[in-house]
Amino acid sequence: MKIPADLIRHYLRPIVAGRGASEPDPMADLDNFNGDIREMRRRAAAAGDLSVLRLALVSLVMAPGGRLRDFAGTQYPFNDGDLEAVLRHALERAWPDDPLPDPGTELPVELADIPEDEWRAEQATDLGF
Amino acid sequence: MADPLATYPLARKWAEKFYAVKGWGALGAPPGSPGLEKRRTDALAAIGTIAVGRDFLPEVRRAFDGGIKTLRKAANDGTAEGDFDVIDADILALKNDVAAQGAIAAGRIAASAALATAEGRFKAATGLCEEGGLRFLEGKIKAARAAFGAAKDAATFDDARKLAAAFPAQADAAEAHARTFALWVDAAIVLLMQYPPGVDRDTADGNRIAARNAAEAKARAGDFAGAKGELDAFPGDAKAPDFTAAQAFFAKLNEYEANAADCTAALHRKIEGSSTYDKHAKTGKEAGLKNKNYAVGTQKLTDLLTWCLPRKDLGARLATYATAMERHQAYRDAVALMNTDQKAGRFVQALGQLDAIDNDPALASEKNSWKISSTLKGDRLKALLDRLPEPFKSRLQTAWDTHEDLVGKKDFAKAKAEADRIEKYFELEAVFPLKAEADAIFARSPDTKSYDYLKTYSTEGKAGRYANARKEIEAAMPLLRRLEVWLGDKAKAAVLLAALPPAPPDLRADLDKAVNDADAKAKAGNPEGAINDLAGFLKGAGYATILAEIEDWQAKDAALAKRHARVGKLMGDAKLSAPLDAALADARKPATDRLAYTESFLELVRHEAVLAAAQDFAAVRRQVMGVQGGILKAAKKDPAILDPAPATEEALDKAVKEAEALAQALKFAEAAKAFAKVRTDCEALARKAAATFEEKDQDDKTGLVSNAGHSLDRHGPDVSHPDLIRRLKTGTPPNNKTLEEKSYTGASSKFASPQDWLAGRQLAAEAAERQGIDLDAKSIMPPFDDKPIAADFTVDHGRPIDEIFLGLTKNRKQDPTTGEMVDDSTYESYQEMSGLTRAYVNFIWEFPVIKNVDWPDPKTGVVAKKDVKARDIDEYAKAWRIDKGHAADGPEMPPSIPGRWVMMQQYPVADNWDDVAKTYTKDPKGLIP
Repeated sequence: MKIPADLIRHYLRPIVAGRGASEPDPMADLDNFNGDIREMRRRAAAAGDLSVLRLALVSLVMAPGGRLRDFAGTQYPFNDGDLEAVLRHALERAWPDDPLPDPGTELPVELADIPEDEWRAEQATDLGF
Repeated sequence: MADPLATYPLARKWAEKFYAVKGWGALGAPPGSPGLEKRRTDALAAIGTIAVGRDFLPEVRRAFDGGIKTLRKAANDGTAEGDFDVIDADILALKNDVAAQGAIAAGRIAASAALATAEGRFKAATGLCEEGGLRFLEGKIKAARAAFGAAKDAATFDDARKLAAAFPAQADAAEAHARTFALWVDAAIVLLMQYPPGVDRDTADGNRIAARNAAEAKARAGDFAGAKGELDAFPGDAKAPDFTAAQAFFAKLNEYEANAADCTAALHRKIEGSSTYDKHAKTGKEAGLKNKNYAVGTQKLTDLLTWCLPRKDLGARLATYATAMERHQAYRDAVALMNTDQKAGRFVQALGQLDAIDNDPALASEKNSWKISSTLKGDRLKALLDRLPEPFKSRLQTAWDTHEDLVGKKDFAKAKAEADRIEKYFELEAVFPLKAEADAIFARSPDTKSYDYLKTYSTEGKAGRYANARKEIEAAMPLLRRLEVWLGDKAKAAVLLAALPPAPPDLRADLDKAVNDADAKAKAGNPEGAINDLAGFLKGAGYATILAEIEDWQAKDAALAKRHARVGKLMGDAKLSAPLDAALADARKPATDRLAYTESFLELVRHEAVLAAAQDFAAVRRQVMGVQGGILKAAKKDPAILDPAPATEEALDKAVKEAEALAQALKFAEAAKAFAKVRTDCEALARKAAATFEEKDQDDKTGLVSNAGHSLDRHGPDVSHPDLIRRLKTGTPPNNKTLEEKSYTGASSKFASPQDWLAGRQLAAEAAERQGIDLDAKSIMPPFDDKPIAADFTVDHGRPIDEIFLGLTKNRKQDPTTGEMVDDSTYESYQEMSGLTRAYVNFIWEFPVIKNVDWPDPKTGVVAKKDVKARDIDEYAKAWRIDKGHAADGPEMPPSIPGRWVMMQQYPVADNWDDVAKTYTKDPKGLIP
């Protein structure tokens, strides 16, 4: 499944450049990011993108494959381990009733450089039969 | 670029001659004397021999073409033989200029290709190199860029080419040194722990830093052998052999990390011998990282790799069988034979032994059912169910539930039918994106539908033969993509057909036939053939000049339209952008009305310069509006800013109104100057306003320090470059009160002026208001879940506002718990960028502190008094409940949540910035304007 990388960057911006990332030591307490996680969820819910955001985050934490740094922003120098921990915390907070899938069973997600409008059109595709 | 022909004086001369000609539509002179007509015929023939090379830049090509058209018109208009003395001289001059430009173009193309290769290597090297190597490469690439930028003739372009051509080897050397350096850094950090704490360790650390700095100095000069020598001088004591061993260990550790997944696969418990090695990674790492026994660590990892790598395919295959399959004798037999072979080193044969399992129909069915149960469940199943319409959705759900029930009962014979059904529906996973792409092509190019490339897709789908439908659409998509290209070429050919001169008539008839023949090929399912046939025809039939004219115009028009839209957005006022829109339409007219593409192209080139000036005007006007708004807003918080009042405010208002009056009168150049003056004149006011915002944001009136209000300290115009670099390399911010204070960042940047900072804040604040966010609000009212508690924006100023140092490779540290070497929060190397035009701004809802709350520690549960400064609505509500005597996790919620909006961050944006082209390659969602 392809999801526009820029859309996920947009939703992650409150996390990588918001309240928690502005703390003197952001990683000292993952709860520093709770307000940012709420904001991320609120924005995605308003746009009807909660499911797709969750799939993208699950893919990033379960099969990072060197992709995490592309979503870390520059506000705080998150290393891969930092960002994975923050995203796991975000998944637990934002979707408390949806545990992570078993390793290897996560939906393969490609965070692709594709225009959002094309992707939205694709999501509404009718099979035609 | 204001004038695309500025660096091509030979071509520019002819563009100017073209611009000077009036009355392009007029007929030529009436026939004159035989002598005159011979001169005319000779001149036109001579003009016909001037060939403008395809290698020229489009602007240069069109300028020379403009010269040809100008001379042709002069020849047609000439009324006296004497006129042709001048015309013939001009023809010769143009011929010579085209030839001279040809040599320059050849040099430029060679240099440009070498520079592109060098830029690619530089980009790759930036993420690897240490500070010294990176600075060395940066110096080299900048020299090559500068030489290319300044080159004007064949010799100087060749000089630029030589500099660029030397770069890849320099990058290779720098990268090789970077790899050595990376091993050295990790090994040195671990080695330090072998020295007793105190003087010995401090001395060793001092030696380490000295060696690193000496190596950096040599690497900066490109002396990588010397740099290595400096690194090798550490530790320079009895621990030197240990250090060598440590570096060898880290090299092996890197090799293991690169192959870790394969090793994990090979350590499958069914492969005999795996138990001997399954702890090697852990014990090997421990030996090197914790116990400093590098030789043992290296040996363990070597043994592990040696055993695992030949068995990775076996492990991967065994992982496809469920544990439950071990109950079958046939499975156990195949595994036993596999083990006999693998122990003897016959790995190919060992893998072949497992085929017996897959070739047994019952076992294969069972394997497939287990695979479905374990890999298609959860998100993957849900994602497909979410997309499927009824009745497919219910059918898949029923098949899934039945299959899971049968698998639970180990009734794999019956499960097979359901497994087949499930797999059938999962064929549709791959169909959705392809169908979406096909639909997008049909929408963009409706004619593609009539070529009927999807013949059976729908029928097969309706019949439930999804695999067939998938097969057809998978095969059709590559053709459909090329069909869209063909239809684009066909449309271009139609434009060409219209632009062709009426004589000779064959010119049109031949092209028409070629298009029809090619189209027949496309209709027969061969769009690639159609594309190639027409391209071949056009190449060989003398249409190239006119086609180049059309293609150059189309490309220029598309690029300009994009930039034009951007400038219109920056203006944000339809009245102001209307004359610009009219000017663009006028520039397009020769092409759209008379098919005079070169003429229109050269008018577009002129419009480009107008557009650049308009962008300067729009950017400074917009910034001044932001600065004025920011000053007035800040004055509401601190009226002293406008002292002496009201004269200061009135003077600012008058100056802005005067500049705006010029703008409204469409005198853009004068308005730009007037706005620029306002911008310069209000620096002191902007400085005071910016400081006021920051002071107010810092003062949260609770006695606790707010994290807000530090943007100016860390990114303000008064911050020095060394301070910015220090923050990146050590985490110490420019406004630090103590050396212990840290504020780590991935990019350290500064605004060029307080006006830039203030305008960015104000423009973002206005955008927040447009979103319905009241930044002056003092409370949030329920329901809380849909209320924003943060708002962020990327503001494009349309002009350079800042400089940035972007962190590249990180420093390293040893994780005290695991002993692993990990990236630190500080940077070894950085890249300087300038000319950025965008700033990121965010506002955060700051919750008030609730003091003296009986707060349970989240880990221990121990309750202690605490002043709670909430980071989220939940946390605030919990503190409020405790404070009001309710249960901490009870249902009560505060009637409202007090607090305030603060600007938490404002800093320049380097994301997607191309520092060579000095432009952003992509726009973020919600860019302002």
